[in-house]
Amino acid sequence: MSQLFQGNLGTSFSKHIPVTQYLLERLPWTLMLLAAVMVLVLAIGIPVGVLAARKRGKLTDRIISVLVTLGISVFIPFISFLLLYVFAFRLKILPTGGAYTPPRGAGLAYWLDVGKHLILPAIALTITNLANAVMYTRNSMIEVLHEDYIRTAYSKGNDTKRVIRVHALKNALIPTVTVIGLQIGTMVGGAVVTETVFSWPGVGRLIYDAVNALDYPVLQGAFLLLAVAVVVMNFLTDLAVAWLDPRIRLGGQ
Amino acid sequence: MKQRKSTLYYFFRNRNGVLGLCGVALIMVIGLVGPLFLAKPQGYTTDILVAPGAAHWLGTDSLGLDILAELVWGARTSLYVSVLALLVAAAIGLPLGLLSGYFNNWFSGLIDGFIDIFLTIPMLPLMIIMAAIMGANITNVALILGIFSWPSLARVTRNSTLKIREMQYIEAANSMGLSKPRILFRHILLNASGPVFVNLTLVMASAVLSEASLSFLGLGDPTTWSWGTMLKRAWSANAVITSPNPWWWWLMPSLCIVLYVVCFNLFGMALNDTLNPKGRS
Repeated sequence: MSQLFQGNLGTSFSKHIPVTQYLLERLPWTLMLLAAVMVLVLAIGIPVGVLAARKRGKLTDRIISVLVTLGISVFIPFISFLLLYVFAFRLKILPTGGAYTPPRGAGLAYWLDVGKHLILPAIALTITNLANAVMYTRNSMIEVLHEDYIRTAYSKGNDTKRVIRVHALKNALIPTVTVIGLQIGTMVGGAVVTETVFSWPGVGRLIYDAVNALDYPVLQGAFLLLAVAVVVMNFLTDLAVAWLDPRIRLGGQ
Repeated sequence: MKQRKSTLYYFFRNRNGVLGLCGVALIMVIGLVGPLFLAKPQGYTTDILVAPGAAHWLGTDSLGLDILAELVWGARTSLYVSVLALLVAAAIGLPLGLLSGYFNNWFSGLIDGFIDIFLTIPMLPLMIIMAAIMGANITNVALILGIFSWPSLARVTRNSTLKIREMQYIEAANSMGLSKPRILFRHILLNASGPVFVNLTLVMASAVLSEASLSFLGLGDPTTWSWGTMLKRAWSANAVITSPNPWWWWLMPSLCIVLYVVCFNLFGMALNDTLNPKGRS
């Protein structure tokens, strides 16, 4: 236990390096992937959810809800295979796996290369999370649009755009933010399948390798990291929700 | 009886639900009857990577085995896994949910906390570790999936029980002196069946997804066919990015998984709309 607090998680059986070092090497890659996913989910999911709520019951809403059902049911290897087949095999515009083309370059060219490798795994991970984000935004937006204060906002002479953006969205976002926060938290260690398919050198791939090598110290470390990530993300989500809705107070009073 | 009739009526008016139900029934028939007609694919033949045609309707894989036969045997595995996972989840989740909802004491608090913990931890990595430790065996995989699916079921049962417990007919049943088990199972569980059924369909859908993920990561049973195992073999052979591309090898099992899950989700959603009177329109 005292070793744990000094940052010593033991030594990997298969790699013969300290587990802490091994995890810290992989963590930035996973965080990079998650950042890309989060940006995509927020940037696409919220507008689409709002659109579906405004066109409730119309054709647009129906199409969106069919896509959401498909998105929730999707099997990550399947979507990854499709992406690989189309973009890497047929069109040959994106790489098939890894995080950079082997001799590791430097400077702008290197980062562009990493960015190219990031696109497919990020899209694959985005699709499932996007479906959830759209669904939660749509449902809570529909509820919020029925509230008295929305009618008040309209009757004060605000136009639809302003009512949606300023009055409705902030309240409707609370469930969306909560769900995305929790998902991201579990994904810090949970993107095992995606990272395996695309050989992305993150924590998920590390778990896969460690299981195949029965590397228990690494697994133990990975799980500690996972638990910490979930707790930290829960905390950050609470903060974000409290910022969105000042009525929710963190801690007593 | 009138209530049941109208529930069925509302269900069959829901087009998506009927579609889902048909899909689920079709998969069940294929999984149960199919293996009687198609021999279990074993060993290897010389017809390697044959494209879909008259001899092999859905082509063959790199060992020359028939994809259609593999899919049919895979359907059986998926059914077996999801039913066993469902039974395990129901056996643990239903009683715990009922008890913790009905008795409001330290024990129910304990169970509730336990459910909370289970729902917060990421499932897949834990399942991976358990599967790695317990060994690759289809029954083990099903048991693990069941063990990881009971918390959501217990939570749903508990929430319904909490609501129903306060109803007047439960009070009436109590004052008539009915035994506790009778009240719990006959009066509460029966009335909580709507959300519980919906959750059970979700358990079956997610069991297939998880089984496929585990098999895909190489933690499935190497002696039986499953859609995840097929994908794993196709992926290991770089089937997605080799040329000429054996698309039937990786596309068919993926489509089966997606169809299975979509059908169960449609069925569950329709069930939710039908059993919840507010959703009827």
